[in-house]
Amino acid sequence: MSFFSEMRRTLALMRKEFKEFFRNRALLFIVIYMFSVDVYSAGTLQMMVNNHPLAVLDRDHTPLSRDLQEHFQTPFFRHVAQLTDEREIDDMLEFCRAAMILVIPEGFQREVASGRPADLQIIVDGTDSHTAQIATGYVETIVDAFNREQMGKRLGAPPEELPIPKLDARLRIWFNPNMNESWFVSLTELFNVVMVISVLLPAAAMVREKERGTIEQLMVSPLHTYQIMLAKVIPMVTITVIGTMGSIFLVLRPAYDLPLRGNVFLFFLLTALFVATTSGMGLLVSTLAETLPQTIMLTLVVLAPMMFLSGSWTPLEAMPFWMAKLTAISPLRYYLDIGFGILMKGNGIDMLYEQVLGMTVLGIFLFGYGTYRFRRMFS
Amino acid sequence: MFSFGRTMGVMRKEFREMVRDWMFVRLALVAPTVVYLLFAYGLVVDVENLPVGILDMDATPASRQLCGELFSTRYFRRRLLASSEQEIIEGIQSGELRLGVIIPPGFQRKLEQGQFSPIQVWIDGMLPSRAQVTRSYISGVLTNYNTRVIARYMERSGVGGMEALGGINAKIRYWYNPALRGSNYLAPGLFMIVMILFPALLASLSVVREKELGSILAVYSSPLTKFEYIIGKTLPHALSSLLNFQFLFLCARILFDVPFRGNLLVLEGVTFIFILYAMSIGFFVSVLVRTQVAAMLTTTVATLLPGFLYSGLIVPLSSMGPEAEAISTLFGATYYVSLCRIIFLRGGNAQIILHNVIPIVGFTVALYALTFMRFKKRVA
Repeated sequence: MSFFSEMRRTLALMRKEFKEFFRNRALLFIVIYMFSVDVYSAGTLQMMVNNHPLAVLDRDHTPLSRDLQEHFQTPFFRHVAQLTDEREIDDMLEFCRAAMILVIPEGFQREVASGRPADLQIIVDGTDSHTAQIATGYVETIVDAFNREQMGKRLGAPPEELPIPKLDARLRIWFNPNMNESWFVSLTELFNVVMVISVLLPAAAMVREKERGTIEQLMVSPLHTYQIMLAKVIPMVTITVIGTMGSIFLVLRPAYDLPLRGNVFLFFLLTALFVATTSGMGLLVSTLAETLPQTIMLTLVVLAPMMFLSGSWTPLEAMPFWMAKLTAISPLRYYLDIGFGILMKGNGIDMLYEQVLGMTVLGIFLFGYGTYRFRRMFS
Repeated sequence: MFSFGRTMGVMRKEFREMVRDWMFVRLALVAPTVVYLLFAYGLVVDVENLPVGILDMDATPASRQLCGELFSTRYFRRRLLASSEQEIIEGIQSGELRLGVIIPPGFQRKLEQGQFSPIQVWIDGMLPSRAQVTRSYISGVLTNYNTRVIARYMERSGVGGMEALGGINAKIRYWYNPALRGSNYLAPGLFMIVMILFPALLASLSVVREKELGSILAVYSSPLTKFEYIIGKTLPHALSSLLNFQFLFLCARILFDVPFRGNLLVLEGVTFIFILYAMSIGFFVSVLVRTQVAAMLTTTVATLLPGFLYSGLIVPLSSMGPEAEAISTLFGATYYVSLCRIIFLRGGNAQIILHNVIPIVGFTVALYALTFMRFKKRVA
């Protein structure tokens, strides 16, 4: 049998898959929805801490105490109340009206003017440890700047010319200097969507044949197992890559001004590799499930750990050691490195070959095992 | 006419159905705890052990002390001692480093002469919320270091110690969670995710299953009223969810070692009310959809998504935008998350607890009313 006639058969089966996909309007709608609205709305999530509610108990009532208060500014701090009595502090924190209380003692201005250190009481609601820690960092920076200004006033010199040493940190935020939060969240969501779809679509396509009993027809047809599997996988890879392109060029670029710093063609090529890898997982699922609801449940069971182990929400360095090691089995982990690496950091293939290798090994394993189980179903 | 006997009948049937399916019993008992543990271990809010690359071109006692102070905190971990700027750049590019610190030559000399002494601090900004925390940590460490440098400088130049410097001393105290442990915040808050998802799923599936199987026709044709039907379905599932809650509570107390300062009975009562709220969402979904798959997807989307985005579980309510804040006040889970945190970490007084419980009760009543309005005892 010639190579070309085998190719033709595979192509015929692929055409059938495409037709089936586009005929199912509900599925088509969900896929389009996930690549557009879902990815877009994820980008609106803001995780940076801002507007920390601050209440002030000013016992000094002097120009200097007011000056200090003004150092606690937006966007991080937000003044919610001016207290007059110590007893109000309890209520403010107890009812979560304020998360930080600044207490300026009586005689504050006098002490500072005389050059004696004045104590400032700051009470932070520690319930939210994360926010409390950020707030602490801001307080330290503010107090330092304030002290410098005061000393400058006393010595009659601007703060930067004071005759005292100053460790001057030149901060630079890489890849995202304006700290645009939409980029990370919407891209992560896009990568997750790619994974969900590339597992679910092939699994559903295969299980549908099982449910209808048409799979026996495929088995008796003059097609090899690998041809059947390729014919299921290639259309899904094509659809997913087109969806990714649409999402990046029609949604993320116009809406969030997403930078494309690296080789976009390389990114789509590696996306295709990733989709092929995870569709191996989908085929594996399809050998385990008998009905569509079972497929959905199983897909969820398989995908949830993949997402947790990808480092998308919890960076690898924050994971316990064993968990960080386990991430090696999540294809999404490699894909995130590749996606963010190319699109946002402008990395080339020379920095990504480890990820590509890891993903390929996983893909070969998943496909091999999937094919093995698929064959066994019928023997 | 409400008949207690008929309601009991529905309850008995639901309970039998639940217990008969042994697989289901095991799943219903184990799955919520597993999901809880997955999230509790998987979602790390603490930013710790950030891998840092350092390039010390000064190599003096002052620069070494700065490095020492940086790595004596739990936030930073030395990953790379670079010998060139290029190594740090590559580390940040590949994601191996989250932070790069470059100390130029002459660092110590400038400090000793009382001048500005610049260092470079590079932060990986891929995930801005973490970059924000990193920036605040590093500023804190550098400010402390700087204060000590100034103190030494003042002493040496004979003006006196820190007192001569004047200025202000910020004395920071943390209430409720003095050690600033992340799990004290996350573990009680996460109860909400499990206690909203599973009761809502149980409720919506228990109705939709009967729709799909056709056994709901028997209910339609019986003298059972829709009130009796829904109430009869509520109680058995609510009790099984409350049983699940006991496991979660034990996880939080024993595994995550969260202090408990409140009253356990109050927490149980509040949780029971919240379970009813979650079930009312499930029942409302069940009148809108026909198939179990649709019920599952809709319920999950209607509970988990807002649960993570708008409840204040991860993003503090105060830093939400006005639209998100409006959504969060209309979402019962917001109040339950604060209640769990308040009861665990603060104890809480009656006033603040009522303040948070009343909205949940209100939403529950409203959703049950909507369900009764939409529920038709006839074939559509």
